[in-house]
Amino acid sequence: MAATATTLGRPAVRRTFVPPWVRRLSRNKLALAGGAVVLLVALAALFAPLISPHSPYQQYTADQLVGPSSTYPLGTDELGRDVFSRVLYGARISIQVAAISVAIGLLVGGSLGLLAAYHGGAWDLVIMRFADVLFAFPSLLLAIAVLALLGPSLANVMVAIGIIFVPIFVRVIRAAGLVIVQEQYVEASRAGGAGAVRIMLRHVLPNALPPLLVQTTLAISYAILSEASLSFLGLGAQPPEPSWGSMLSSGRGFMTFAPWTAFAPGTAIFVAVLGFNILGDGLRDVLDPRMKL
Amino acid sequence: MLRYIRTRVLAMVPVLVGMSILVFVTMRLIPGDAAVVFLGTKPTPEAIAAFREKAGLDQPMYVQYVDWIGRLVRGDLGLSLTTGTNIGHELSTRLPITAELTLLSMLVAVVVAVPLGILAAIKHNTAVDLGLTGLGMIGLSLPNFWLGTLLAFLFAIKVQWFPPGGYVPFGEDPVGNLKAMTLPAISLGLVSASVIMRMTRSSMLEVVRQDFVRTARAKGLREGVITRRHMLKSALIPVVTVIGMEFGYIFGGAFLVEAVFYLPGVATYALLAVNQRDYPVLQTVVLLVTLVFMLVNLLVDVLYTYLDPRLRVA
Amino acid sequence: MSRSSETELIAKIRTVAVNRRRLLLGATAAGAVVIGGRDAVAAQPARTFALARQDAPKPGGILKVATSTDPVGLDPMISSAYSTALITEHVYGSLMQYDKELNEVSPDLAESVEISEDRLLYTFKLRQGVKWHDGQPFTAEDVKFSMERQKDPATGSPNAYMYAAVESVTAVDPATVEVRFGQVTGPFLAFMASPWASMVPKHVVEAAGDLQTVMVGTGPFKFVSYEPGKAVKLVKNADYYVPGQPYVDELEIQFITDNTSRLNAAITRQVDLVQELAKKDHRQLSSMPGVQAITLESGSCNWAYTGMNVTRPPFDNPLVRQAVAFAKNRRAIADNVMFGLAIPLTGGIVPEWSWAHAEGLQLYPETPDIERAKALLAEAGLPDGFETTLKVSPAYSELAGQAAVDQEALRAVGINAEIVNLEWGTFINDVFGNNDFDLQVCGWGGPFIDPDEFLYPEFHSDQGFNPHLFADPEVDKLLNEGRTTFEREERKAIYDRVQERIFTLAPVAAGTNNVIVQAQQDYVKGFTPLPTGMMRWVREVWLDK
Repeated sequence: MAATATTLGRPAVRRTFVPPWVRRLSRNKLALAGGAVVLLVALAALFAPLISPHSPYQQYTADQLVGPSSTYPLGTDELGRDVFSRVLYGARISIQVAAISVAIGLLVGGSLGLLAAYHGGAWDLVIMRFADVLFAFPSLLLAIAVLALLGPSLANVMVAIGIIFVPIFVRVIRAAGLVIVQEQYVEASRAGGAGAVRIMLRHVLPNALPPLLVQTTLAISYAILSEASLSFLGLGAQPPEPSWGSMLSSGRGFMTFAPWTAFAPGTAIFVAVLGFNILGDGLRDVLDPRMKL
Repeated sequence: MLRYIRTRVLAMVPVLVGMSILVFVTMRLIPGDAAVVFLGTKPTPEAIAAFREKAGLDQPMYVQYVDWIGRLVRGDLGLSLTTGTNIGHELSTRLPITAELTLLSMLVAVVVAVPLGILAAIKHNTAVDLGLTGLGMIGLSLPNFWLGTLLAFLFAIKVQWFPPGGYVPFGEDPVGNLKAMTLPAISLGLVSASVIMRMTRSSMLEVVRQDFVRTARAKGLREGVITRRHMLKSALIPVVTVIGMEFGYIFGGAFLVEAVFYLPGVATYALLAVNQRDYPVLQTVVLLVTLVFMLVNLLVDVLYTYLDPRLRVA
Repeated sequence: MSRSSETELIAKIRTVAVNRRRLLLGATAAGAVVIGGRDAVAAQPARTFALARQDAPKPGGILKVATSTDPVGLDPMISSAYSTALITEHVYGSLMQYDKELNEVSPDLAESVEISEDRLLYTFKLRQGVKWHDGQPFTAEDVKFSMERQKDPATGSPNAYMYAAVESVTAVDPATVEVRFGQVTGPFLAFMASPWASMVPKHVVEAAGDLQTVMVGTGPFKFVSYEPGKAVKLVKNADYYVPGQPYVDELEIQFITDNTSRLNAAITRQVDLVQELAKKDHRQLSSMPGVQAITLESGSCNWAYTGMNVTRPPFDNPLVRQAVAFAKNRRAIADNVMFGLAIPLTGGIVPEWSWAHAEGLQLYPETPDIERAKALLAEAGLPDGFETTLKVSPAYSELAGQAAVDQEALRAVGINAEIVNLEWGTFINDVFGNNDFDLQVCGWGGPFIDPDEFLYPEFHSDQGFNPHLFADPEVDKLLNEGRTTFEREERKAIYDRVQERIFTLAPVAAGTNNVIVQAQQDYVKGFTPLPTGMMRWVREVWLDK
């Protein structure tokens, strides 16, 4: 997530002044609170190997379904693995899937959106109809169909969720692109021989940045939720990978006598999604007052 | 109005065709042979050939597609590869379950969300508003399968008020049916309730700032009357749209909630088909569900146009 | 019922059974064998599982059973699916039947059987007065027809091998059938007790072509309807030849695919008897009022293993395979994956409850012997271990759990196995279809009773269920001998030898024999669980409510 934001942010930073929305953002308490939670999750993911007391795969088989203790802060699962360590490593999986799937959506959707805006005509028509078709599927059903085709795995989950995002980013980027394409300085740079890609990168992206930032944040929260959902259904991360969704799915069976096996991953999903949602809301307040929800 | 509907329906056709082709081709690309799954290990080449012929797999792809669509249009949904049962018959027992779940969840969502959203707007910037907004944010971030797991743990295992899962047909036992559907509908409805509540609240707030409300106030109408007569109607327009959009999410969520509560609905059927590589089932279910999804969106658009006459010209 | 009392009971039964077996074998070491006779039916052992029989059975009511899978067609000869047998066993009868300990066979549709001294001629006397469910009499012609139909390759029966050595079947008179063999078939009577060897009505098959959608048998229940994905309904056969049985009026077998849904059906008391529950649910089930968990501590016919492709280096080296078998953590699998409901297999795989169990065979430890495994790897020239892959289908959480345990155990001896998770269909295709794997984790089982059924299909080189491509002439020879030997004591010695040979060569590292978990409501009386997981004695079940 962080990587995506900086790459996209670069053209904006290159300008000499700090855009007013950045300053407004720093004063928005909601955005800051969300940002803090997001940071927490990101740190957990980043430093999982340092923080976790055990390997997420190590089986202390004698300690089956042991409750929380100083040795196992969140107890152990049926194979005697430390749930706390698994939750930390689970953050890695979540963040990784979210980042890559959003990147896929941005890259594919963004390029198609730019193409549609820049060329117009038949390009626009075909691309937008394609986006309409993708948009017509209920999103989780689309992901499941894609996974039926590719087979269940984490890598395929990234692709499946990325495909959900394609039509969204096509629309956001095309809308921003259309505004710019009509403006005169683009005409000027076109006349000056600047390539399409350069025009787009130079002019369209900075313009599309505010809505894009909001969409991206919400997309990440949606991606985390979707990964957990698909893994919960057994279509995503495969055992013994410590994905929150699959941990919750297997922990559910021990709810009556070892509730921590379900509570730990369930709470982790909730906190991560909540963090990105709050951040997204805060960003929207700052960047796009009209879209206030 | 009719012309608008006709235009919209016509616009759906290319999307539907594109979608059906996409679904069809995608399903044919699924790796592994359905024959192997169906016939077990080490099937003889003759058995595979016979199976492929029976399932129509020996025909060119476009023939299979036209054949499939042709039969769909005539109402013949085909046979499941793995069980050999009629997909239409299977759906006729499963669709009511998913429909009931979806509608009850929608009901939960609307009944909870709209009054709370209005309340939050009326009490704008008070503790009530803040609390409700916070709750909305929590609801929005709570995965339905986790909420469902929690509810089942609390109200089916700890306190045995509701069954932990399973479906009871309404015709056999209406009370049992509603009891079995309560927890699933709440799990599925609450997330949408959060979205709809947020929309109701902000839409109300938007309307408050508009001229006609100020005029009404100036005319000295009582607040209650203003809220009821003027604000609600305008505020509900975007709410209706969101409710329509939520349908898609609720259906997606049904995959998880049906799995959590072991409801033998359409989502469970599709999931089973994914695991068994039963693509006739999967392609038919995906197409039909998406068709319903599109029709609901159309309905919402029509309703929207109806509620807001300004849009009719467009 | 408490588990300890159950264990005791079974232990007691086993002793009795063993004594009886000795007697029988002693009496028949030479000369012709006669099994059964007019008094034999009444003399059936009246043992009932952990149940005081002071209450007289109350007839009536509907018994609802939940199982996981739809039948794969209803023809008992064409389908070899467990799910099919679970239904057909109530509708059809076989010539012979096993006792409740799966130890001795006794006549069922036959009244007695006489076996010639050279073991090549079996004369079955049929039970008199038995009628098909449509009222037609059951005769020797039906038996001849059934046997010939199953043997005929055109029928496509996966169990045609049972009759492989049969040369002719003759209906001598309406009550007598002679079966003549070209070669001794040791387990023939055991085969005849299997639900796969159901007797089918000649007149119905000739009219209907096959029995995939109709069922007309001689069994305790008559077929009423089959609704795919929902249930099979059966009704009491009032003319059944055991007086008063079955006790219940109707038997409804429901199909509930999901494990937890079946558990919930038990907890919410929607069904009376539940099959195939997950081991992890045993604990929750035991804490629920009104529901009783049923387990047979002596194990079942299902066992789990780590399979090795013996054609792929380094698994072509028996030392490496033994290293894997020494590294395997059977204790952790039994305790952590199977929640204590499994028996570590440290020798052969023929279960404890079987007469052919190799008591003395002890080849591998329950917990890993890391030193020994490392020494074997060093001897094989791989002192630093190696990288490999382990295929598994996480569609079954117990298999995924075993793969995780195996991965850790192998890592401890320097074998780095990457787990390759495959969807069930792909797994079957890769492993059983194309033999494309290094290591794989799977379970194996069925309603096997005779040791031949446990060992021959998986370890004989000419069989399709041998994904490891294991081929050893000595093993093949012994397995053939086991099949063509009649005397049980001789067969036992052969199977002891073949098991020792197989598991020393270790094409698979055996893991555990898995206990079957079933559940019944407390008002269900008289149910006898079997290690096969079948419900043959449902006709003795009655409802105390």
